[in-house]
Amino acid sequence: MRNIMGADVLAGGLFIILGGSFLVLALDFGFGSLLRMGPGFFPIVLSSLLIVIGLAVVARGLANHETLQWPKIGPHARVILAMIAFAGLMQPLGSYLTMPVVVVMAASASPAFRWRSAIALAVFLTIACDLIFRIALGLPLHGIGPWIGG
Amino acid sequence: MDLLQHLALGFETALTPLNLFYCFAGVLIGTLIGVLPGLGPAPTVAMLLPLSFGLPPVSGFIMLSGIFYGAQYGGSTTAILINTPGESSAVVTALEGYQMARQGRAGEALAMAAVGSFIAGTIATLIIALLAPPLAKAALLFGPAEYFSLMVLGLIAAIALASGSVLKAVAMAVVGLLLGLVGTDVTSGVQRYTFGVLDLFDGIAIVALAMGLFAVAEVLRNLDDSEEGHATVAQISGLAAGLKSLHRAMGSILRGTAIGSLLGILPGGGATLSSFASYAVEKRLSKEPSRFGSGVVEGLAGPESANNAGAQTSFIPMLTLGLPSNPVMALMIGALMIHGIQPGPNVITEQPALFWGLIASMWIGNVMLVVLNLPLVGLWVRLLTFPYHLLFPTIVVITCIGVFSFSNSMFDVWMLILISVVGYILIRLRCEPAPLLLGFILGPMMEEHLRRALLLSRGNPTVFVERPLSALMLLVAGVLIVAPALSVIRRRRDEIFVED
Repeated sequence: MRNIMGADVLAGGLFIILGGSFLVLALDFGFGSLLRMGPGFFPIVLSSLLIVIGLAVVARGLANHETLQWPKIGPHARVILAMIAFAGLMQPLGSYLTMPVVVVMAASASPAFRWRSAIALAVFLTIACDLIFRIALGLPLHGIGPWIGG
Repeated sequence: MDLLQHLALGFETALTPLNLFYCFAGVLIGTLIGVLPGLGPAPTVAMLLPLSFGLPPVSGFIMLSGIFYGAQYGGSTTAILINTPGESSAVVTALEGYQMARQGRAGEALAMAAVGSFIAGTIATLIIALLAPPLAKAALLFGPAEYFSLMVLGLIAAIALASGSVLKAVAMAVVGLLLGLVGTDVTSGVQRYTFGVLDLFDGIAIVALAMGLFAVAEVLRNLDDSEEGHATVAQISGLAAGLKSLHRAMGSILRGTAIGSLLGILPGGGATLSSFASYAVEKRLSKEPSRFGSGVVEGLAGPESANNAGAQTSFIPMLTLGLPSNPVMALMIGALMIHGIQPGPNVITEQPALFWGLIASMWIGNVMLVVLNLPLVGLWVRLLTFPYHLLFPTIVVITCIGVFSFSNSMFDVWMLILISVVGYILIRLRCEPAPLLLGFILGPMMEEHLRRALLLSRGNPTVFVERPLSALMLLVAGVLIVAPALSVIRRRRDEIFVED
């Protein structure tokens, strides 16, 4: 844990960046006029508003000298990586191999992680999801993907 | 009489074996997931949204509503038994309920919550049946200017009554409005913010957005305080005692129902505000307010009835105006639109079976909740001890599959990952995700009404303040956002807890 900038400064900064990006892109849509609003009208108004609010939030944050505790990101990264594994492997590898990998990867984010309970959960979820989503609901989830000859 | 005919149609729809089954399934699954610590109604509905898409609209909607009030109810059980409110409206339930449970009166508390919710649900359902049709008729008289102002008011009210910084909440709503515009502009056909990606032409999938913000981001946030909590579950005894103290709490139940029904209708209202307000009222009316916080029946029955009534009547603005007052209603609107139904005043006349069937099924669902929950409470208790380190990988997998199943495209799963990361960062920066979702739903509608209003007024922007109703709504919105009265409400809300 270490202290970095205040939550308000970061949040406001994020709003300004978001507003700025939305604004720049919206300039090409065509503003139109009040009578005939173009596709750019509403986005330009909104993103300008977002930038203004963002500035106000930053100003408030600077005045308050608030600091933010940022947690260790290791566990969070594992959960995100598990989801990336799902998105990347599901179609080529199939659910029978992908699901256990995803479950164990996600489970390893917890300090209470034990291989035995994680593997048991992985087996249970793989079978349950196969029954519910593929067989009962008819989703195109393949058990065995093309990479392993499915 | 009209109402009887309509209700007959409703029960006819809701009592078909198929719809009865989906109502039951929804209530059961909703309670099951809502009971799990840390999962409130919004993530539950978000995760289960895809289940409804394969069904006919009426059945799907009946199931989703069942999931909603099932989850709401399950959250109360969790709050009473282990003092872990899954969402803000259960915070008040935990105040008195958990104290009762600690004194060995868990059964009494659960029975009280069940009966209170049932009475409130029954009355609130009747109120919807009576109030929605005339309101929808009135809403048909709204012009685009009124609609635009109403949506502004709805958004602002939802923001102002939420906790946390108002400024950041407004910013989140604006981000939501902007995200809602991604996709093909219906009027001009111009691609906005799609970067030529085909999967974005229809906009960002609401399922990916809702699950990322409410399910996965919540999992990530829970990883912050990574100690595994050892939940101590209170023993359950004395379900019968609850029925005995019922006559004592009847006044609180009815007052709670009245407060909840009223506040649920207001934009930005709903379950949370209702339960806080009811708790404050009960405390004020009580002869011994100092005992509040030590397990007072009235302090449980009132808010518990209020949050159920508020949850039900928040369907009214959603069904009659197409206006979401909370994230769950935003998801409901998303579900309707996916089924090709545009929420608004026309739903009642164009989809009478859907509207009245839903109302009838709400009442049936409430009956099921009571019948289901009192005998099954032992099962729920066992679920409470389900360890979080096994729960969260399950949530992660289910959300991924759920999002994938929505469109059969991995693109939405990648979107989910992106939204989860950004959502988590925003939550860490103390920005609430709820206004973002409301804005996302309202974005395209607001733009359309703004465009039409300006076209009708020949480009004169003063139309919004010249039309009295529209001006009034904007005025209220303005008052809500700037008035010091707001800080009074806040202070009072804090006082409720501080005094104890």
